[in-house]
Amino acid sequence: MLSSLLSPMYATLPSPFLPKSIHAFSPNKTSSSLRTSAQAASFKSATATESNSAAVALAGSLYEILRVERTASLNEIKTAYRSLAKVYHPDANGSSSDGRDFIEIRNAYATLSDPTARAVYDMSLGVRARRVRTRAYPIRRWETDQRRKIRDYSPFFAIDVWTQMLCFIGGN
Amino acid sequence: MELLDFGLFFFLFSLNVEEFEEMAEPAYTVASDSETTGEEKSSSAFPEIAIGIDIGTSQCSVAVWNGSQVELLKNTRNQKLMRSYVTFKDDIPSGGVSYQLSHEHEMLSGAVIFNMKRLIGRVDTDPVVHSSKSLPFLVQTLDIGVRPFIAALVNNVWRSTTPEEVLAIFLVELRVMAESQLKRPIRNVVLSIPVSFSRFQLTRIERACAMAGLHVLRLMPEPTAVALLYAQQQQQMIHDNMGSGSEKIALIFNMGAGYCDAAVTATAGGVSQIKALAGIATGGEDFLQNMMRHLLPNFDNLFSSRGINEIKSMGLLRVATQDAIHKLSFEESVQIDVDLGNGLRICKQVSREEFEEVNQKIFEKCESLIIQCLHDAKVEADDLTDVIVVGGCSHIPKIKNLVKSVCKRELYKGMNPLEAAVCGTALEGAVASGISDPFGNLDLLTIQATPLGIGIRANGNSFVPIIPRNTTMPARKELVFTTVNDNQTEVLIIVHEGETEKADENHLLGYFKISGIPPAPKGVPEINVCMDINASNVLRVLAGVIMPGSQQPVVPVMEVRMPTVDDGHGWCAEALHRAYGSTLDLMTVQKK
Repeated sequence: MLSSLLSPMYATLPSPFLPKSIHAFSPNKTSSSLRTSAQAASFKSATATESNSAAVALAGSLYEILRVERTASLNEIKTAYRSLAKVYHPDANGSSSDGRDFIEIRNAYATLSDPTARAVYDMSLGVRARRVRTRAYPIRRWETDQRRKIRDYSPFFAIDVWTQMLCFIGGN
Repeated sequence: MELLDFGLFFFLFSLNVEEFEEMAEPAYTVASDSETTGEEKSSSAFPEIAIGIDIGTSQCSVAVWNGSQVELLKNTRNQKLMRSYVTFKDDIPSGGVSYQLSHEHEMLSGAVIFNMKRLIGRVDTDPVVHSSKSLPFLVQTLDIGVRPFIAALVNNVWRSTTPEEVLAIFLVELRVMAESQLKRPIRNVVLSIPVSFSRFQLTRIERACAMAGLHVLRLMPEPTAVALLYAQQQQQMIHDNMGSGSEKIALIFNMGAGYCDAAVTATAGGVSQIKALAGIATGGEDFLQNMMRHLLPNFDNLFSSRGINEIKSMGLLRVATQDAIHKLSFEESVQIDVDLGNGLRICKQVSREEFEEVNQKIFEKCESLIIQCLHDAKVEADDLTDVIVVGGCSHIPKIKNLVKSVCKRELYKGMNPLEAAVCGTALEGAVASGISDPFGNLDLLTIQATPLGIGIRANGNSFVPIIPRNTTMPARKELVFTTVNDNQTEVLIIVHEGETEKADENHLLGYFKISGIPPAPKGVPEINVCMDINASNVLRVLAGVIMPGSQQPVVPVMEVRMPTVDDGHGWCAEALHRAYGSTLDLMTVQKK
């Protein structure tokens, strides 16, 4: 158990996401900055252990974890998360999971259920698959998501996203 | 279809069986399921259904899944809610489950210990312990961070005891009661606990359970137990074609005699995802103490000597005040007339307004707790589907009004405020025991969140959370730290739990040292601290050292199960600081 715990743990070093850079970008204060960095780290650790070379293979992996289409609506994502939780959560009836699967599902959900994080992630997929789009990010996603969250959107977001992206790729 | 006879229980509705054929389990799943369950679940052919216990500061109750619904167990006096106290009058102590006080005033003889939930796992510098000094038994403090001395007066002798012992005596009575009714041995339990309990306090609850021969399957923050009951009710509504399957966001506010908790839950399909938790050690007891001091302003001076007469007077005042507070929930004003002995008599008319004024600060605290919880959950009052208020204080008009005004909603009516928490623990008990219900009534899941942040001391006396508050469990997170001195070969990892920025103001969970770091300039070695909480809420802290250019740890990684501290943890952090100063400090890694 120890070794399985440790390998992903050290695979994340050095983490490209440091609290400071995230903080500048994150629309939410304090605790979310740490959480975001940790999520990014665990996302990376999950992917890094699966495949170190083929970036393309990573494309859609969070969607694959949740078993939804890339075009899935927020509601579909929530429903998928719940039904997977009922199977993979250690408390779920008949589950023999130790919780690691659920943590991965949870991390995928945390990214995909947050419109901002999802947009960043979607772009990272585009970049990784060498399908860099010149036209910023898929705006359509935002409209399908909760309207309230759009208020958090800052006009500087697009710039920050790219800084963030470069940091993300550079660290890989 | 006898199972459909739900009569007594308001929270169970009749079922439409055809509705959910897909979910229905084959008829004989109970035995086969047990073979594939995890370590937590029963390994016998017939899984034992864990019972749910709500140990309240003033009252407690037991419930169990009886195969088709949750049932509250009654004691021999036909009570579902039993007073939480233990009397040391005779050689064998007895508790409120079996023992009937001859009179309310017997509670105040000095021989009866109660409010143990306020005292358990606290050190004598804790303000909650200090406020317990007005209880009619002995609570002695030395104010240095050790456990308080607690004693009952038996035949004019102060007989020492501990909150764990008192709780264990009480739990044994509850166990015996449940065993005689269910006609089977009881071992596994799910207990509800206040949100603000530290992990050290949880170990004390587990200790008390172990003393009573009980194994804790889960410790559930009280509002999350209520959330599970709510999730089940919503499922029932869907089955009855009365509700929609969409996600429902509920705020749960729970205020009992000792604690006040809030939670936001997002529920759909029987899954209750806890989005945020918040809690404080404030409850009905604080209303009572404020009122006692209001009625008798020189209360503390009068009763400082704590002789038999003082204890008696204090007790008389307590009963009269308690009674008045109860009445003020239904009446605009109440007459208090009580003779405290020694020529001391209180004769006063008290209005509800006066009560609300005296306790203004408590109401404000409750309000900010709800606001904080909504904020942490990133939920606006308008997003809420339901607002649930439970607990002994839920009948206080001002409490209801303030929750209504913050949440801009009428209150949910589908729950008995005094039984909701115990029903939720019984549901969790059945689910965690691996029981399934052919009608899908146990097709439930609670996804818990951490009520307090967990982190380490770094950057001087700063608390750096690694698993922040309200992180979904199970959880695993890590952060990288480094050394503060050149050629620093050792670091001290001090693990705290709490919310304040200064590490030493948070609860200490434990500490350990990493040795053998190769000499290097400060800031070079990378110390990776990883925290892991499993679904049973067991916390493990792992720490390893990586030198630049290497991917392998240079010394064996430390893995420590927390909390490791025992009694005296109040002064432990201070002693560590005195002994080591900043020689073994850490700091967070800055961006390069």
